[in-house]
Amino acid sequence: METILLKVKRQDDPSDLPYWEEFEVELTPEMTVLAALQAVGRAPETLEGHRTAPIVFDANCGEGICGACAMRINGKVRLACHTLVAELDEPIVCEPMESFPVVRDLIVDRDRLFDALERGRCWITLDGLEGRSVPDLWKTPAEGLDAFLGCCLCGACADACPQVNERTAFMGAALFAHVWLFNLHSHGTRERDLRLGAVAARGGVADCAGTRNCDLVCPQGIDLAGIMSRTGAAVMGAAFRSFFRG
Amino acid sequence: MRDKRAEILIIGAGAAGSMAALAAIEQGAHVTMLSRDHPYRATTATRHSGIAAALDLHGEGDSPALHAQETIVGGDFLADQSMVARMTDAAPAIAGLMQRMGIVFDRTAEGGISLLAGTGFSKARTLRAGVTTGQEVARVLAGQLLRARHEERLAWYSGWELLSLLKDESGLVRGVVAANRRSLEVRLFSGDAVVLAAGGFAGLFADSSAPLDADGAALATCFQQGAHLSNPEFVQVHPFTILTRGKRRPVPEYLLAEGTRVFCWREGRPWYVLEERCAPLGARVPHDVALRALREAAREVGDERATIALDCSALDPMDLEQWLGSPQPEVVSDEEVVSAEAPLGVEPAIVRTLGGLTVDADHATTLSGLFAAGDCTAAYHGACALPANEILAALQGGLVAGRSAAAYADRSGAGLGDIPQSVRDAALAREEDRHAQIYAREGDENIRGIRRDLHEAMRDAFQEGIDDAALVKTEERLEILRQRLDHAALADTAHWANPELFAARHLEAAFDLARATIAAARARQESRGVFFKPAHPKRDDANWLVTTKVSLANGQVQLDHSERIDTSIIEPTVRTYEGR
Repeated sequence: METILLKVKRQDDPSDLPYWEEFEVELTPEMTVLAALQAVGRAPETLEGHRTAPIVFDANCGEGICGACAMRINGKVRLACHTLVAELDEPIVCEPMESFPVVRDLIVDRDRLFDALERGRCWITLDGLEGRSVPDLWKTPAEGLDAFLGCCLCGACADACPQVNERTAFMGAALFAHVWLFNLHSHGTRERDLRLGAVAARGGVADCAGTRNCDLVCPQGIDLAGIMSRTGAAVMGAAFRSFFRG
Repeated sequence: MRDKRAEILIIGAGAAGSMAALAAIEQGAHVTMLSRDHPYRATTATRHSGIAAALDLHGEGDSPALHAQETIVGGDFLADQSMVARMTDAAPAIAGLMQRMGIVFDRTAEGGISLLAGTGFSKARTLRAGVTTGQEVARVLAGQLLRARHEERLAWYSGWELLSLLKDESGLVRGVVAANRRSLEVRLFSGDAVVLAAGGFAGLFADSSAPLDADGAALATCFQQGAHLSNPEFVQVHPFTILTRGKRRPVPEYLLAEGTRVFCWREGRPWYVLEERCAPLGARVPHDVALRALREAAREVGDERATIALDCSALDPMDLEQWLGSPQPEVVSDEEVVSAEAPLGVEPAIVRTLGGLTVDADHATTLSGLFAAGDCTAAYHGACALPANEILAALQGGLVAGRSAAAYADRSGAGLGDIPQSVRDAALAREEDRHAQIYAREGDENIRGIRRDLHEAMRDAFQEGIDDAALVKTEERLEILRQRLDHAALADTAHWANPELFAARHLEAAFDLARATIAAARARQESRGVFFKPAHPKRDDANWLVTTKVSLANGQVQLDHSERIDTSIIEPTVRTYEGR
């Protein structure tokens, strides 16, 4: 029986201290880190033979779409459901993302990522749900859009960013990807400067240090560094427009 | 007259729940939304088969009426025909609404909207947003919800999950009792009406493509509390799924539309059996038709387990790699898999359930005050869902349910009066007691083991053809499992962020849903759409053009087959996709 060694950083609740536990897991074909964590849950016993609570983690879609299972695996933030055990060096070390408060074990509180979308006004103001579909209105070109699509709000960009910490209000690159997409849309441009104003404020694009770490870890391969530099330029443009409008 | 806005409670933040919230808000209601997680983690985000709408941009003579007809035929005449027609009439406006909210659908070379061919459709009518249509729907709906929250028309409780419906003394649904998945706090949320949009129950079947959370726990809870189910025995098996990174995923519609071919190996050579026998749709015939044709072919080849494979040579290799490797294309190193020339083996797997809460044309359930939309209901897909109708049906259902709930609340809300404190206290105490009981349970059994065994039993009963004798055995298996549950102590006894507590509750509800599903399957003596009973291989309209209605009374599953299917638009015909 081939086994792998799994080392998990655990924490019982937000105010507790973290501790490590090691597990031996029977290797199965195409085993993902998610599957390994689930396997521990079925018979939660540490390497030393101590009975323990099943490891607690977030996961849902299992196919790298929903972003729930983002965690640090061997030091790099990845989606557990989409990371094959066979591609990793042992021991396989799982830790919660550091940039978010730990809830329990590998679960972190990512609400502020989602809340940031409200601050960035990531919507188009509709006059109502009713409306005719008039193809003429559909002017936004799809060209080049693929590079910005697919953000699942997993938080990897924030976790990899040295600027996201207790001393700053910076939220990482995800927010800017969402703002960028709405600003590209032909109807979204009407509220472009409002959104840019929101991301020019404290914790906004000026706090980006340009390390490009976000680009390296984004599991969806979104061109985050490109978005950050373009947003920086767009914010300047918006400030310029606002100045001349008085 | 009311002196305050109607209060609508919505359970679920996927396409249906989000749309219901927006529709109710537009009617002037205030909405409180409860969801296990943010919309980005909803099942909607995993649905990549686009949105069907008869826009007829290519002058093919497409129309909502034809869209309706093909949906009804695709669903093998089990769908509610008038509701389907309303959905397909609304589809162009719904697609337009998604566009207005911010989705940019794929374009043709000339910059017009690109329409793709879709399973079960003779015309190109599927809009697609890259490889992530479902995620795009989640993104733009989340934006609208955030706007509503910003304008204080929506209160959002993410991380909360339904425990039970709150009924007043006259039996009207007046709210819910829910629990916070972290603090485990049990809280009562009152509302003038409740909309359930918590998804289907494909997760009840092992090795399905459903997300882990999609086990139908909320719909099972409503069923336990008296809501009726329709057609739970219809469980959809997708003929073409592949296993990547431990997860079964259906081949997305856009890959089929762009020329993926399906073949069966015969004497060492590919046999494109669907193109031969199901022309002109070929691999795009409804799933049950494809599955049966392939099984027949395998029998003819003399190997029941003959490999069915995809020929992707016509595809852009990038498209294939993006799907297989997404989100880390660079990690897909298996040359054999990414090569467009190499065939990719596929297998059938359960992808969704078609039954759910019984709803009328207004999406009202059989419980007054409870409305429902999306995959937790049965209405639009009949006996087989066409993939490009899935998001569409959720959005349409949400729109109707949200409006109906708001109208109901306006009509009756003022007259409802306060829920007596004693009723509220009792509802809370009941749920807290149940939690205490689960924590106190002792024994050697474990929740995860029982859950896996239940899911495997359900898969075994529904993945292949349905057999009455086997179903009787499954019922016995289920009864033993249910008894084991009485001796299942929690492996995790924490009183903070304990997912096992919720798993234990889901499991209790799941047994009743499973029993209902099996009883409904035993009763139906025909084959229709994805429901295939080899002992009765033909559709039997004379006896079975009926909705299976299931209710629970004193713990007993009761079936009612008295409701004939609405055939106001098309009279049932022999469903054939041969040589059309």
